[in-house]
Amino acid sequence: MRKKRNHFLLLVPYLTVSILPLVLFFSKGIQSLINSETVKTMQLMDQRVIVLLLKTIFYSFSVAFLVLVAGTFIGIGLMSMHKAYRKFFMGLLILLIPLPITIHSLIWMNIFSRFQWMPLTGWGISVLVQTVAWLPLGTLIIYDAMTKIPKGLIEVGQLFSNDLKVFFKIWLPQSKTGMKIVTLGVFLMTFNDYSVPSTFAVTTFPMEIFASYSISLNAGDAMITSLPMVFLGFGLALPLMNSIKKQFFSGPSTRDDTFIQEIALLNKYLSKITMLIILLIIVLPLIALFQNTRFSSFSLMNDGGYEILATLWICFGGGLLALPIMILAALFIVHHNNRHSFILLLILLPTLISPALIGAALIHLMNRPIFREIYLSHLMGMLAVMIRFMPFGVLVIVAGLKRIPEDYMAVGYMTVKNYKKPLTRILLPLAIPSIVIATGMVFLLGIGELGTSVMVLPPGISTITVRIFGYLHYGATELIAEVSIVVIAIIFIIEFVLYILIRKGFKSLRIGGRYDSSK
Amino acid sequence: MNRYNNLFFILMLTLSLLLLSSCQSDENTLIIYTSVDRNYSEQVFNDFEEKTGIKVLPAYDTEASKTTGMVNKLIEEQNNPVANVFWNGEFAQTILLKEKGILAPYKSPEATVIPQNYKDDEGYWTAFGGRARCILVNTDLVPPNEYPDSFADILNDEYEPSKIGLAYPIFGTTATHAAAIFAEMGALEATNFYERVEERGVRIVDGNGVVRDLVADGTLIFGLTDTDDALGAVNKGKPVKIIWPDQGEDQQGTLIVPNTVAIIKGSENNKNAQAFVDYILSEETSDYLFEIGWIQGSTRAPDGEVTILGEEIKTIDVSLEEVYENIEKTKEVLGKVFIR
Repeated sequence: MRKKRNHFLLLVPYLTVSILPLVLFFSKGIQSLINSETVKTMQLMDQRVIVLLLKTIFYSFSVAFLVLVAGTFIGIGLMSMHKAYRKFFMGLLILLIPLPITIHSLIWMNIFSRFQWMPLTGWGISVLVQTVAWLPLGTLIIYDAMTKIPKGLIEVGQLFSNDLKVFFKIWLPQSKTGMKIVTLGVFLMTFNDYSVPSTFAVTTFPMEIFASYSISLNAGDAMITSLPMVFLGFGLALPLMNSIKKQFFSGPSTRDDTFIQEIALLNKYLSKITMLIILLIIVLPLIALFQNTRFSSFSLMNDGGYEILATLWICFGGGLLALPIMILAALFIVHHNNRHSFILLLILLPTLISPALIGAALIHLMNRPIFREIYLSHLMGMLAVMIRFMPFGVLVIVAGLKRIPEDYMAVGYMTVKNYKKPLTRILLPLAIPSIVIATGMVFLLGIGELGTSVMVLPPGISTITVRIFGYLHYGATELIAEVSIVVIAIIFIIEFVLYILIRKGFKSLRIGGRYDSSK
Repeated sequence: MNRYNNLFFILMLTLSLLLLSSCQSDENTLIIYTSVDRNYSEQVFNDFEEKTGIKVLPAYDTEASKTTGMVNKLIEEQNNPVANVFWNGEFAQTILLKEKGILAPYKSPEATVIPQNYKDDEGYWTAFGGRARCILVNTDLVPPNEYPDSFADILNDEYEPSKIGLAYPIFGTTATHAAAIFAEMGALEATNFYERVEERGVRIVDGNGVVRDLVADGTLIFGLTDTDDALGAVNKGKPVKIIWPDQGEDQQGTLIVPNTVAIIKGSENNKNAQAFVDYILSEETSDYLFEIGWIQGSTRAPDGEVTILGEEIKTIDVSLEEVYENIEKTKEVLGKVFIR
């Protein structure tokens, strides 16, 4: 009994930082609703709201479906490439992941505006841009799933059929877990985003939540309006938990690149088409950005130099503070051996809540005399980054921990009586690459954070993303281009540093020479 | 094990550094929350700092939060206020903050020349400066004899509806304008008007800045926006012209959207806060705001007449309070009309 309580303590820091503010805020919202004279629940039955909700579901599904199709195509293309090319093109895709989605939409709007025949508003362009924005992440998840197909299955299939048949009948269906995660994940992320649709004059359900908060200035109203989204999110996320466990929490992968590379059809055409697509989605935006930048007057360094430093500081602090919390939460999940889907869902909860509501929740919790110093510090920005992006970091660390062969820990426990030693000498050192990736992820995603930061950043402190939005309203295309280039450059440098760290980490992590990272 | 101790020590040191370096302790500071575009307000804060030596710690809103971010934050902070002053780019939300008991009264000596209809009787807020709602026309696409001259022209069959732009009338100054129309026309007629706008397929876009950009690049033939946004296109040499809508004798006129400034409850005795209110209401600052392009007119005329860009224009005959009283209902009704 005592042992169980101790393990629950591992989750307490995560619950305190991420979930407590939301619970307190929601209870305040419910209280204000009970006190309110208006019966707001009727709002949910409004025909207009239902139509809007259905429209948004269809919109999000269109994006998810396109990401699935294109991501699978590019994923196969990546696998059919030569190893050296694959690394390069995967690097390009990883570079695009942390780019704020609004920058994606602005860049593509700029590109499309050069073609007179291209409609700059409406569903078509909005779906297309949102698909391109989610494509890098979607592709890499599908690719990851494709690398986990047991080699034995392929070999058995090859005994009876040709490679192409094995590819369609065995190999592709075996990747369905990753595909499911991508489809539902992209669906949920699109479902929660209004920035891209609104850029292209498409109204979606999150706009309704925003309008509700704007009209009533009452968190209770906003919460009621967001209930269909939260329920739908939960409804979809719950069955997703098993897929997440299967995809991220499964053991070491068995790659079978040679099988794919032996299929001439894929090798000959698909890899080249894939290279072209990836180059298109990264080179075209870069050309558009450079064309709009006046390099002679890089005014950003005068105006936004402080914000760049503040952004790096906030993201660095957020990543660092998140580190122990994510490790503890991941250890809790690993210890419970994936039994509790509910706990996993609780950890992912902040990803289902509107960023503005997370901001309001943080203010509600921290705006007290006792927290005054924290409330007026960069720590508020760090907390925003942590709450929003720690869930992804926890998943990455759990995935890393799960890939460590169980035998190592078993041997550790057999040789020493101390419970903690195998943990600190075997498990954590071997998980360092995933810990670095998770921290880097919180850092990188934090650069594009806006919805929560804009509410919680104290006076006198601002981030580069907040400044970008200031420029947007001003219509300063060249400034936006400059900022975007700087953001991309920062992301590139950080990713490069992380890559070096992870490589070094792998090389140095050997237990008496027995652990070989290449396996 | 030594290696882990060192690692732990470094981690703790970094965390302590994070905590310590983040705290702000300067006393000669003033915390100002503003919904005014940063490009303008930043210049004003710099000017104020230069003149008074008081350091401003600003918190800016963004267009992404539709200028309600700061108001939401002030409401959330009600029990433990952080801000000393709120400088708002419009007036309705400021009146709302007064209703919610978030503001403190202060009657600035600089406000004596401002007409009574532009300030609160008890001194909770003062309006100053002014932007106006205007029609921005693309002169390459519309010949002068076909320029629209009324807000109602967005329903005129002579113009292709998909080539006319309007920002969402539930956010920002477009919402304030809609509330003024509701107050002037009556709720029924105004609702009917906006329903026809929606049915007709007029392009509803994400903000006045977008209306300006789409008119300037020729995607739209004309759109309704604010003078500060419109001037951005004029100053860049785009083929556009600003038109004051509804200036005829039997027409309603356009809406003037003044800025408002107020002191937050708890800072009523803060000399720095009072100094900023005096500064922003002064004639010198009014000229400066005009010069940098944030305002296009002044409320300092004793007769209450407002000139925008040097022209005396006819304005909608409703008070700021009447507009405020209609704003919540207007947003609620128009939310149902336009968010579909």
